[in-house]
Amino acid sequence: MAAVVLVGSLFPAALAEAAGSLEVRAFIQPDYDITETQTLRLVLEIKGGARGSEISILGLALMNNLQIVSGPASHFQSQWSNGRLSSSTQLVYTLLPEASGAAEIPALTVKINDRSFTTAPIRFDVGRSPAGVPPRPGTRRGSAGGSADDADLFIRAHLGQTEAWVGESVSLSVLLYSTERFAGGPSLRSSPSLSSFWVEDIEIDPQDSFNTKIEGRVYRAMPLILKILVPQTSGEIDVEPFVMQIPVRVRSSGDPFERMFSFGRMQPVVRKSQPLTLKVRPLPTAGRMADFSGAVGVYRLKVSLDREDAAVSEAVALTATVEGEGFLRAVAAPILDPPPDIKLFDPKVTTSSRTVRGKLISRKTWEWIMIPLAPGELQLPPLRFQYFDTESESYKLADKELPPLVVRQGDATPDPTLARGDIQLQRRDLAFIKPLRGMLKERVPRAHDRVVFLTAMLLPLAWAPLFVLVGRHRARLQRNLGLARSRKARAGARQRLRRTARRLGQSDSAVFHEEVARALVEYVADRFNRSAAGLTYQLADELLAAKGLEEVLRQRFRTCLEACDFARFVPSSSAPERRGEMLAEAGKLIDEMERSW
Amino acid sequence: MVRRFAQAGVLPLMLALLCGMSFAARTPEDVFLEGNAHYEEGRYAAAAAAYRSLLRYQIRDPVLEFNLANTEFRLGNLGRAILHYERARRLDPTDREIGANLEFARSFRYDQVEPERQVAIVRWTHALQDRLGPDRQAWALVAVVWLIAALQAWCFSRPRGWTATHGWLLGALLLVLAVSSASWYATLHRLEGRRRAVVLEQVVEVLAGPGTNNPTLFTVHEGLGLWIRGERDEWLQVSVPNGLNGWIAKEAVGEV
Repeated sequence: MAAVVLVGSLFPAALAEAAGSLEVRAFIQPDYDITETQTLRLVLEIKGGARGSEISILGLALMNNLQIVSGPASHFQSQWSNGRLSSSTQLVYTLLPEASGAAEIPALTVKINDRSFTTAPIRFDVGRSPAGVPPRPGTRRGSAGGSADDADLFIRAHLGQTEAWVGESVSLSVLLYSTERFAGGPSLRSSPSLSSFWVEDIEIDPQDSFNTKIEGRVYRAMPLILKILVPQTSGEIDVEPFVMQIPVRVRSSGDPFERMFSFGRMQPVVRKSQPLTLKVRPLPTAGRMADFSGAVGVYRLKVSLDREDAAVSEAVALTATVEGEGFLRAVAAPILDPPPDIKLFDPKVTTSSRTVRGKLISRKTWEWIMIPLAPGELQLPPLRFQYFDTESESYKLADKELPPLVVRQGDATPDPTLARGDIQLQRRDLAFIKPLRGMLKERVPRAHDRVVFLTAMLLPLAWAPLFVLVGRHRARLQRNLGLARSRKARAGARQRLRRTARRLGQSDSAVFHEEVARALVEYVADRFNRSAAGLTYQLADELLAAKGLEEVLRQRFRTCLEACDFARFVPSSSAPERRGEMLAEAGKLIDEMERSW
Repeated sequence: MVRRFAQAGVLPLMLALLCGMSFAARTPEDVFLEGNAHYEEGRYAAAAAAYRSLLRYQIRDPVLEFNLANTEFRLGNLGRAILHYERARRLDPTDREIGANLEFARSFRYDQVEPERQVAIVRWTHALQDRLGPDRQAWALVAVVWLIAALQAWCFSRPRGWTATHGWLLGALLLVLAVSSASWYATLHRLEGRRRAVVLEQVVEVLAGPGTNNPTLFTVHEGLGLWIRGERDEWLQVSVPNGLNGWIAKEAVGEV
């Protein structure tokens, strides 16, 4: 990998001419007593002017047991000496050893204006850092350019206790101790694997810093990490060191002007905590019940019902709270054996925890909803919660009696679904075979393939012209009243004759003959669209003659009318049998005239 | 029905008589009930034989296809089960149990086909169309046509003729007629518009052409539904739901 640094702009144009000979070298600062938590500087110094704007550095990726923390920072210097202008550029990387042991910076290739220079490789040993132990003041372990003294700034890890039971909560805290304020926020470079523990991170309040005295020096202690460890296995469990990187402000020289006017520069320093060991003891088997909750610590159990009486099917809340010193998040609920006449739903669980003086105080609440199914006084069995008491180092059973619950019948009928639980599909399967319904069918054509369907669809189309004709006909009749009257003439006359015939044996002769005569006259009047009142024998005969009726028919018509008139005025002239003949004759006349029309 | 049964199966009937069986006395309904009894007692092979014998006599009843499909499923013949469910649904798309069993059987297919994504209104329309079926929709069309004819007759025959109310009513009926016709045609086309087939063998290679000398394009598995696009000799040109197409042997599939 090549690092390309733009430094051309740093060279004033006036100096470009002086860029004749070039000299490149690499060195580290400090170059002795380097430890694994100590940063060092890799300096690439280029002496002499350079024409061009790029410097490429190859080989940094091949460094062994070292990582680049920051850089490169570029520093340019020029001066007149003996009438000659000389200049130098320094490219500075901040490096951090990865572990104790041998470290190497390989030969680096520096390319300047198509010219290549190779530096000599640098090898050195990285010593183990006395992690977490404050060295004596003044033991500056070769900080690069004057970083913080190890005695001024270090971190320490603390376990709340060195021995614990499996399942017991142990606090682990990491504190930063410093004699003066550092410049920025520490960051975690590496943390130990805590695979043997259930780990809960506890939030830290920055205001929890405090002053403390260590070996006669006053330090400001700032908590960086606070964890609750719950060991899952027994034995001696090692907690590897935490490695933190802390930015500090350093002054590069003892120049009083710089002290007065400069705030110094930022430089990261690395600090490592000391390794720890926790001895974990297994829980004893003696006294452990089958429904042991898994809780280890010192706890109290509280139970309550939200009411003393309830109606059937009315919800009642039962709350159990376990509180005390220890870790409860993974703890099972207290044992409750519900009687058969209540329906118990799964509890709602809430957990909270806090730390007090390095101890974890937890609270876990289970809230069950109970539905009483039958009236009466319901005495629930006591709730049982077994835990391992770390103070007495034995199992303890916390059991609490519940107050009796009076269940009244109430108005509501029990909801059978609620009482017996929701119906849930256990598995899917085929719908069962179907029974025989009627006879089996052959290949039945679709409805639109059947003749009856086509007929039913086309029939209304065939009827349509018929209805159109009927409608037109009726409209014509409505417009021409004479025509309509003429068309209805025969029907009207026949209807009148039928009514007369029904009274053949009842009415007297005068009425009968008057009706027959009226039928004949109204027929002719309707046919010619005239008023029956003004139709005389003569006029009727003329009209019928004009229409072309035969003389014989006209004569019969007149004879029939005259006979009716005579019989009206001489009732005795018409015997009952004669009336029938008259009626038949009138009917025939109307039919024959209709045909001759 | 007995006559048809006997006509269609003259030869088997004679053979049965020759074998001393009293087969001739049984009606298709008897055979069906016998198949049901076998099924209920868990003798699925015997039930399938009874149902299949009815199919040979041109019985095409959705209940028969449904029961045979159930039996094939119990026998582990997933492809045949899906084929008969498809046939049953085609005969009676209004039966929800057929649709439910078909979906259940399809869930056992190796080839998982993504269902076509449809907007809710299309889904609801299809559900309604399936519930009614094409035949009921056809008869509904007849009813609408008759209503229109009756309205016309009424208006033409009355002295006052047409009024605005009649005009609006006729317009509404014509609209109903148009929508009903479109729905009926769409239902019919969806059910019967394209030839479909179901893969009956566990694994079948779909080839690039109608012949075993053609390279294999892809493989399909038992129960997959195919669209038939053409045929040549003993080969069918098919397309699968994801758009791939090729040629497959006729004997490997059953046409719905």
